[in-house]
Amino acid sequence: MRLAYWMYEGTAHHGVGRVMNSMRNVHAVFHAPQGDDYVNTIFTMLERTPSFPAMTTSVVSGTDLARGTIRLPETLRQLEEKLHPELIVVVASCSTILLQENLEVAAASAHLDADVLVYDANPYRMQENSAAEGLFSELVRRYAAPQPLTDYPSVNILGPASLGFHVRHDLTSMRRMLGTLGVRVNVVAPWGATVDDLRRLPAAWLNIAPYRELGANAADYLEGQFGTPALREAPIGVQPTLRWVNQIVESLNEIGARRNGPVIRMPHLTAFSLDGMSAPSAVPWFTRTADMESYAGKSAFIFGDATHTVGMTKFLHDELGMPIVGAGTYLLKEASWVREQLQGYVSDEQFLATDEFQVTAARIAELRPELICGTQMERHTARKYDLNCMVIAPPTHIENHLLAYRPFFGFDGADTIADEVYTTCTLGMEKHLIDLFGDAGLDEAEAVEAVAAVEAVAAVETVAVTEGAVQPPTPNSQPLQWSSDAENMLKKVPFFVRGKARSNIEKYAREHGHELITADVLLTAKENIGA
Amino acid sequence: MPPKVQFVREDGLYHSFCGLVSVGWLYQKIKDSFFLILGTHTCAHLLQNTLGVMIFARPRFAVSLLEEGDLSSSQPNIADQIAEIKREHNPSVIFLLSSCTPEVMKVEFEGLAASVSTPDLPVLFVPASGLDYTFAQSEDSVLQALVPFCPVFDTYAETLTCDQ
Repeated sequence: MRLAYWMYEGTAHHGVGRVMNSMRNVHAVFHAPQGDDYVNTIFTMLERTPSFPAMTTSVVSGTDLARGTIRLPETLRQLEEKLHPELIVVVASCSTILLQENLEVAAASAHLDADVLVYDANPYRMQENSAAEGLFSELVRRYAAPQPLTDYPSVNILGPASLGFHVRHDLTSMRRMLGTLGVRVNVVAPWGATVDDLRRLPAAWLNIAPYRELGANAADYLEGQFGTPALREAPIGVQPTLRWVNQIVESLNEIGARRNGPVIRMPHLTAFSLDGMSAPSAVPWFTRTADMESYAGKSAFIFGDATHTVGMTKFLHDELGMPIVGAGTYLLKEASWVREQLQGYVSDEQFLATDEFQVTAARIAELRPELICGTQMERHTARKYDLNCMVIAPPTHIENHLLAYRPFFGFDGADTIADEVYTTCTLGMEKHLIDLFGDAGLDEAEAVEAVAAVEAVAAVETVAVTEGAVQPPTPNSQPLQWSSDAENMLKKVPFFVRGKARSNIEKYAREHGHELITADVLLTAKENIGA
Repeated sequence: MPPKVQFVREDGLYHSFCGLVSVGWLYQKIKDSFFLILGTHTCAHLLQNTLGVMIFARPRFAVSLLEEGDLSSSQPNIADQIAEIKREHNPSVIFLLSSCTPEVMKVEFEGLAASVSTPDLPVLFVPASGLDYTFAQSEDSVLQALVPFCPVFDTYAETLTCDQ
């Protein structure tokens, strides 16, 4: 037993919920105590899709256990009557699995028309990702049917699922690139797929399975069973995306040649850009600009799931020129794959595989990297140590579930990531300016505190004046000397905040007994006010 | 005598939350307290999602995590975790909350709490398992656990004070 505060991965039944909520006309039933239905709210709160999450808890209470009642058959009957799903997946919870009930028999006694699958997800051995991956593969094995390939070049996209990290955006990005190539998408699964769509999977010429966490096993099965080749790389960054597009063209033309199908030609790269005229991504040019130079040498630490940790580490190193001071994953089952992928990027000492957030937090505290790419947990750790952080993997906060197009994949994704890196790091630099120049741009809470402090000072002064006491000369009225080099340095500060900067530096100088403000005093002031 | 209220419907729809959810706000209200749940990954995931994935660097609640190997022993040993909490957080009281899995395992919570409780740092048992308790009920359980620590109310003296 250990003391656990926060979990990177969700539970097995959450993973089942993610797959079922991705698909259409299917439903998940949790044979569980009432508390286990909390997973529903994750979908409604974070993903904010219009329909109810496709999952129901068939409640097990203490009274039921005492009486030997099992509500499952009745729940299944009610669901069929109300929603008519084609498939219902039943899963036990961490507590009900200990009861060793025969859920197969209980489910069969409901005599449903729908397919009912009792999914054997042991919550003590499986967490969110392996439960989702296991269920999705099982469904693909169950439904994928032998059939001829489509007449035209086509692909399946395997892996996007409900509550995945930016998956809806990544899907749009992949569809845009495939559309530019003239390749049709046969099925996307599990996101948006029906049971019938799973049956049609073997009609595609190629499977695209970019997520290491979900869809990879299904791609393996389809390759073994139906001979469909698979592209398993995640197109994160400009060069990986170019390779990804070229591999799709090559694989499809190879199959096309055997079938006398149409030949796919690689279009001019501008065809991939959003406006159809520019380079597909602005990253290669951007990295040569002065703006980029200002943070190219900044150190980065990357921690997350397998797909995003590997993709981001390579992107930051290869395309933005950032030194990598550490990288790792909380997916212990994927740790050796991630380690292998990051050979040459991080040493063994720099690699971290842990599912305890305190360990990651300690590593961050020790490294103090200039950019952290992590999860919501690392965002909080970063805040604690006043470091810059962008979220690149689940678990996420609501602000990572954006309405606008923010892909991580493809050329469009490279632009999104570069923007995010730039704004995250730049804001880090600007924070010193904010601290130096006053309260502009502070968080609301901090601003309120600052205003309260000012008001408190003002109140004291007012009292003093109304009492008619003789005012001693306030320290602020003593003139301070500025050396010419300090004056010159001050002139570099934008005019609209120069006055404020001058008064803050003078305040610091007085507090520290400097009568002459030299360049040294100014810089120390800047550092101390910024600290 | 038959009950006055007749249930016309009891179909398993519970319009409430798991008892553990009360931790989310009680730990903020009861100063210097620490809430320890003897539970599973599910309990931890429930709590962090109840709080809207608001992750705090030093939360004053945690789960003593039952893993597969812990299922075989009916009376788990939480002394190490109590020591860790004392070292890391130094609370003045620890509430030990039950959950579904140890409930099914028939863990004897009163005895477990008593075995790690000291006069300096009382460990108080709070029944909160989602199998039997709802949100509001376990809120009550937390308050009830504090009753033995309340000063005795001297009715006579109080009456005199009020009269003056």
